[in-house]
Amino acid sequence: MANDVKTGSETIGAAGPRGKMTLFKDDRAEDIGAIILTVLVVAVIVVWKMK
Amino acid sequence: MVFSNIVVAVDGSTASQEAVDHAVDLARHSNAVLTGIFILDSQWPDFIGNDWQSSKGARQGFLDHIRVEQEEQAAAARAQFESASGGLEHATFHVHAGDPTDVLIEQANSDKTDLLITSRRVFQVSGRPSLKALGTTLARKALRPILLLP
Amino acid sequence: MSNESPGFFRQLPSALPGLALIILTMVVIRNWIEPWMTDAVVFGSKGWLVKVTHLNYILLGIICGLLYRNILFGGKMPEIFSNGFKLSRLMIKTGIIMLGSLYTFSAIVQLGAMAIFLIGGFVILTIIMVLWLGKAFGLDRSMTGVLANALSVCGVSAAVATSPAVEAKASHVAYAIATILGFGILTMFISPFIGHALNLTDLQYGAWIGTGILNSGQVLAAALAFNPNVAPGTAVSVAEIWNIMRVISIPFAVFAVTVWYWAGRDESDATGKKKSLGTLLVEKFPVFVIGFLVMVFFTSMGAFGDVGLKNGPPASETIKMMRLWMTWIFGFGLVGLGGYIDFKELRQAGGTPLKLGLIVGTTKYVLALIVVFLIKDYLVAI
Repeated sequence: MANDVKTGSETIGAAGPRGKMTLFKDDRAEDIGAIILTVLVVAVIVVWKMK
Repeated sequence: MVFSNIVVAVDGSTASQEAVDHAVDLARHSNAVLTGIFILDSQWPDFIGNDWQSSKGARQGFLDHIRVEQEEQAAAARAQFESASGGLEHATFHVHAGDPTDVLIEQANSDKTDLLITSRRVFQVSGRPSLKALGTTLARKALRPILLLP
Repeated sequence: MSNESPGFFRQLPSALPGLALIILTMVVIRNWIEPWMTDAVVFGSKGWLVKVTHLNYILLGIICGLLYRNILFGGKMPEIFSNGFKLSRLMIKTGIIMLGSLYTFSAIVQLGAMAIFLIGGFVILTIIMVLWLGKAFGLDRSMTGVLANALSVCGVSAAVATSPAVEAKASHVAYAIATILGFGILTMFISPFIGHALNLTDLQYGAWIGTGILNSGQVLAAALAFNPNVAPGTAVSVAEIWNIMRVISIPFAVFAVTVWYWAGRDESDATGKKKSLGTLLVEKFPVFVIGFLVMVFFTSMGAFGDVGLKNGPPASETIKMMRLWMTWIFGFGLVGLGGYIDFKELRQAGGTPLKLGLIVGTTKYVLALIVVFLIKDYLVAI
């Protein structure tokens, strides 16, 4: 496999951290993050308009 | 012109076989150090970046699936390089990670590379569509000698 | 919970530059560019840009995003902005959950039923077409499976979810994705035009693009490009019900295609690849839908005051502000979406996936338009 180092061969630049396209753990966590963000946004609006 | 360091892009395909054969011949004649390289494409997450996913493992499952294929490809490339460069004294094989186009340009322009040899069709076996233009981009951006095979 | 996910809050500071760029872009567009376009005299007519091209802040945002990536940054998002752009999907999801405040339960049931009927019909039609054309073009089974799901259900999301289960080859999937994205981007820009030219109602337009456009983000963009208002009965409120139905159907579609794929293969290879429907549902159920439904629930209970239905009392201040904020949140999310459009990849799309994708995609897009025209009398307003 790519990461084996044999005589006369090596792997340069770690095959990299597994690239993710979200700052969250996975896409489900992103969904939950969106729910939390919604709660925050709605709370701010409700409090704002209560005054 | 003396080439003491030759780099060849290898992906295990028939297209890259010709490049490897040329590279081995040249290295033998000029007694050069030959380096075979394969590049694990790091651009897949970005390529599928704007799609919607909600499930736990779909995106990572997909990226892992692609990675497995790429690692198989790397192993095939290594085997191809090792069998072709059998008799050479100074032959090494490296696996890089990154955008194949960028890494190849960087290799071509490195002071340590006297000549980069590659097929135009390299890295297309398991590549993204834009890698079809790799040869053209390389030809445009290379500042040091390259040998571009069909 | 997201809070526990390793690194989210640690990565957040690195997202600030990208986020700032996105927000700045939207602020400039909405405060200066849009007003300028409304007043600008082009070809001797005031506001031509808005009246004829239907460019609004949504499409402008996407265009800015794609100009950033493809022109300004030469094809790749610079490291400094990339984490900020990764947050764009979070914003779109947040906006969609907030959209729950546009519906009552009865409206959801009415729209949902219509959506199931239309989407279901088109899923069957699309799958039949893909299977038939796949055979005609000599496409292998795994690719046919990926395209069947991608073209019938949810575009790239479905392609990504299906590929590992049917052992699709990377380069094949790549071409399928490029085709679907390209088709989606094209339809996203021309649909508002067509919709206005044909004088479609919001309901007709929403139902049409909800059925005919493949990717979630592009459905959202096309809906807001047609009518940027976020209120009950606007294009976005209709199209997003369609979209949610499609996202929910992804696990089912993956299951169906996996079963179909492995039915034609030696069973002994299938160990570990085939998952039961139950497992798939647990793994793939879109959790945001729960948030959306909770939002619908609170709205139906009157938690945020009147929603401003037709012939009813006007919307409360809270609801109005929520709608305004939604337009901003969607705006931010869609600048980010534009930032992921990579012309380099789209230009090189080709081969059988392109042919098949274009044939099936166009057929679906046109047929869906005809269907919403024919059944317009049944499309009751909500």
